[in-house]
This record gives sequence, structure tokens and C-alpha cells, in this order.
Amino acid sequence: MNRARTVAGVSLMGTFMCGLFTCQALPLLAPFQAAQEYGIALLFLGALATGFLFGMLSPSIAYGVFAGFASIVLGLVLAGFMLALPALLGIAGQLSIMSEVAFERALILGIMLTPISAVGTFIGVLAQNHSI
Amino acid sequence: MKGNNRRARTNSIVFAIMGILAVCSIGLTWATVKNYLRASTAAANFRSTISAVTCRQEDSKYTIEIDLNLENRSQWNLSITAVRPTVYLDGQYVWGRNYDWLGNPLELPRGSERDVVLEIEVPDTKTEVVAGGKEAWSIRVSGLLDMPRLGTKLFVTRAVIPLERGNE
Repeated sequence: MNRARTVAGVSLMGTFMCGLFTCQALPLLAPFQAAQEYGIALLFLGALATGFLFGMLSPSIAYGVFAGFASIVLGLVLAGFMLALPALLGIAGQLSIMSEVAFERALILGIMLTPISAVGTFIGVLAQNHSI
Repeated sequence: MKGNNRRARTNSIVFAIMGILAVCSIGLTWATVKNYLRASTAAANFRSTISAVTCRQEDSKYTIEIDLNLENRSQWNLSITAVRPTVYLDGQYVWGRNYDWLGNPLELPRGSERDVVLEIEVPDTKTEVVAGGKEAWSIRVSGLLDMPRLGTKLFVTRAVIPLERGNE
């Protein structure tokens, strides 16, 4: 797997994870009812899918785990940027919309999602070997 | 050779799925962040300020009156369900009171402004503290603001205002 493809894959899946992290942090502002109610479940499924897709890309489990972890970190960084947008744009008043608990929850979930993604990678590698 | 072709095809399909997921996620993020920015703008346009504090004495009992100004310059209709003013004298807690308006919230239609007077009756145990206290009064008013879609949010206002001692 060349470096350019790895970067492209991590960028795409990082963007995907960013959407799920943002919905999880702001469930009441998410556009879909499902995202509001099952935000955390979707995040877990997203991590599993991320690992699975990286497992399908390469036969190396270590590569898949690394790429999955990098996607989760990229997703967290992008979601953090989205959540900090009101402060960056100067829209801040007495009232805080975003709670610190949501930030902490996102970080804890980020740590928890890496092994989930590793499981997805393992399934992906197995599926790829089986198909070839 | 056949294996390589199959792998290349699998890689293309995987990248296509990744692309679709990323595009869907961008849409989801954009819709959520748009709502978030709207809510943040509404929250930034809500202001609560303490305009005056008065201390009244009636039959050796003290009553502290706090004039609270609530301003909603946002495009959303907001309401306040609870308020708790707390009084500190010379850095020490004096007394507080809970106002629960959950049954009948204080409505703040968009672009409106309201003044509310909050009264705190000082108990007998604190009378000496209030009588002997200097002018270093500080007030903290916390409250729960009900916002559409977001639910209840906490707001806090603090002020150090010269006390007007009346009826003394």
C-alpha cells in the first residue's frame, strides 16, 4: 500500500468520523432523528466500518490498525475544530452551548474506538483473504 | 495476474465507498454545524444583568432586592424556568433563594427585554452579618434558560454593585 493511498484513505475516513463525532457531541442539533438517538451506536459502527475498509485495502493488520487509529484522531481533531467554530468566529456570550462533558466524552470514545476499529480491520483482512 | 486485477478492483470499490461515506458525512457535519452556529448566535444575543441591589429593613428583618434585567436580542423565543440569586457580603455567603418557574416559565419573546425583581429575605441568624457588613456586596444570579431544540441551559451573572440601604 503506497503512502499516497494511505493518506487518501485516512483523509476520507477521518472526514467520515468527524461527522459522527460532531453528531455525537451535539445530538440535539443533528438533522436526523437517528443521529440524535443512536449517535454513540453510529460512532461505534463507523469505527468498525473504518477498520473493515482499511482491512479490505491491505492484507496487513498492523497497517489497518494504524490507519484506523489515524482516521479516528483526524476525526476528533476536525470535530474539535467544528465545535470551536463559534469561539473562533467570535460568537460567544454568557451562555455556553457546548458542555465540557461532551468534549471529555468524545475523547474517551476516541480511545475506545481504536480497538473497535482493530476488530473491523481483522474482519476486513479475513474477508479479503476469503474473497481472493 | 488475475489476483492483482481482483485486488485493484477491490481497492477501487473500497475507495469509492470511502468517498461516498466522506461526502455523506460532510453533509451531516454541515447541517449539524449550521444548527450549532444558529444556536450559538441565539445564545450570544441573550444577556442578563444585575442593575441594582437594595436592602430594606422592616421590623428588624432584612430583605434584599435584586433588579435583574433580561434581554433577548436573538431570533428565537426563549423562556426562563428557574432563577437562583445568591448574596455574598465581604466575600462570605449570606443567603440565597430559589425561584422555580417551571410551571409558568418567564417568557422572553424575540427582541424583548424584561426587568424582574428578586427578593431574598435574610433569616434571623444572618441579621447581624447584614447589619454589620460593609458595602462589599457581591451578587450571583444563576438561572435555567429554555432554548428551542437545545433544551435547558445554565446562565450565570455576577455583579459587585454598591448597595442602596433603604428604610434604615
